Amino acid sequence: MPALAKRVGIAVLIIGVLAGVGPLLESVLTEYAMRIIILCGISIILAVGLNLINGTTGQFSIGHAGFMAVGAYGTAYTVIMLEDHAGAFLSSLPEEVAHGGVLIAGLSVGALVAGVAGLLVGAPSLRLRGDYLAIVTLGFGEIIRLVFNNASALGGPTGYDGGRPAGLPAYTNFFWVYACAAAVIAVVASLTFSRFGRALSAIREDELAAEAMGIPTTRLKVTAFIISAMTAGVAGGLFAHLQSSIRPDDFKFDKSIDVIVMIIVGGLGSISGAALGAVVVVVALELLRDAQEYRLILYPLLLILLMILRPKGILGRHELSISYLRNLFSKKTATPPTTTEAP
Amino acid sequence: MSEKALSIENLTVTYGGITAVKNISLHIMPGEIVTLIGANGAGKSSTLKAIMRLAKSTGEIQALGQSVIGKETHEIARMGVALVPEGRAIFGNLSVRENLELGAYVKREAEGMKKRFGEVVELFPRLGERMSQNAGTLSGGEQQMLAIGRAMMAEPRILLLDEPSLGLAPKLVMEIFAAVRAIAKKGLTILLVEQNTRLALETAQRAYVLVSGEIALSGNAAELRHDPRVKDAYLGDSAHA
Repeated sequence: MPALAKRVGIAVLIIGVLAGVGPLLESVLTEYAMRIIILCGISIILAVGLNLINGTTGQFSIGHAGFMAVGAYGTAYTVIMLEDHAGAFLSSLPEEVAHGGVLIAGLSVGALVAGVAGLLVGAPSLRLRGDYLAIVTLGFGEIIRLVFNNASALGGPTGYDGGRPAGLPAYTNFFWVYACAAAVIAVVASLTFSRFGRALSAIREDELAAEAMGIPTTRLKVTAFIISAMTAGVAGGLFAHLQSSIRPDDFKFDKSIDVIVMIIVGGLGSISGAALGAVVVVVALELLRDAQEYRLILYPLLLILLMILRPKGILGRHELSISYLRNLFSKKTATPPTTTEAP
Repeated sequence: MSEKALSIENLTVTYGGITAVKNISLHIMPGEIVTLIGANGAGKSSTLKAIMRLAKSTGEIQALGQSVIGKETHEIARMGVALVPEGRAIFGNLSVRENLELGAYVKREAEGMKKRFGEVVELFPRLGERMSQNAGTLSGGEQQMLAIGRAMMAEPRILLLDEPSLGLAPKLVMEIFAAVRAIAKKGLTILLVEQNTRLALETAQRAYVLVSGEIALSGNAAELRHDPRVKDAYLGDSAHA
């Protein structure tokens, strides 16, 4: 199958480039800059995942941080368990392989439990039409935070560090973050541009008409929601192993809002827009750190300004592509032809 | 007597405490165009919604020999019943082509796609000229054409039309109804809900007149056109010469 061979080729190429670029960047950039780049990658995963349900399907979820938390605790707990119980086997492996393998296993479990949480939250609330999902996910985000706050086995309010003096192992690096981001983008993009994705857009446009067209709207909404929750779980897991410990307060309501801001800034419904929005928001928040207390004035002002200049976000519903850029630049010289085309 | 395409027995539709449709029974034979006429709020759209299970109801509804009670809307679509919703309900931010492709959602195989596109474009040549345009930028008449074309993409056996003339200029209304007649010639069974009584009675073979959720009159469309009660109430012939 040449299509499959091509995909595998692209995947190998991306992995190769990331493996080469990572150490290169680490040798050139400061630790601080490296951390920002990694945070950008984690935010890209969050935003691209949330965009599938909020942008493409039009179901407003505001509890993304909750799924991130589930994924973070799930991943960290799994990694610690594996290292505590299979330490002898792991130490027989080369260090890179052992660390990467443990992280991948942890992320898989983190994504799985986040997906189960997504099913439990999504299945009842997505049967209904309208704003119920927003209310339920808002509640879920708060409940999950309070659950971890009271789970003494997971450190309670002081956070989970795996019971180690050095805290959680710092396995998250440039390579793993961007490999996961590439995988998430590939999965979300192939879903969005399929029959499934088109049906999701139909649900966003008119749910009743979509249902009357034979689209099983509830099942598709729940599926999209679970996938979105799983990507948040992966992002949470990567975030956990960037920190020495994770605290329930790392996943507060404003974290969910940050991700929503990212996809709106980038252009709701656009995958490349979500990724771009994630980078813009993370970098903007870092740059504004110097403004200290004025940050909370400047950041909203920037958002208001953006909404005035680009009400549909930076990319709108478009995807960043060569033809889009070409159109953008040729627009200045000539008006684009009206699209009338024979079938 | 051949099998009925659609039959409704003792249907009652209630919203909260309000009864929109009261214990009505009607049927449509295969290949027939039947119209459901009546004033605003007479229960016409509620009847269509009940058939698609978009409204809660009591009573029995059978389509193509199967009961639809207990089925989900998307399952009924899969049985071969297509609804053209009131107010068109097209997917505004998607292109005309995408709208039509979504219409064929129940048709999994890709081979028939080209043929189905061809049939819709033959029915509405204007849609062919607008394939890559966003559906939201179409005129009202074109949107109605798209809504009907989208329903036809599923190759349904029963077509439910909810007020296709609503808000359209007379010339476009004629175009839409010409298309409805062309669709009927293909052998489809059509249930037409319409406020434009004159046009509905000219198009259909049989008619049911709904008044406050009950069937007040029914019969041959040509005869009902000359019935003094219909003339008085809906055609206004005696009031305005």
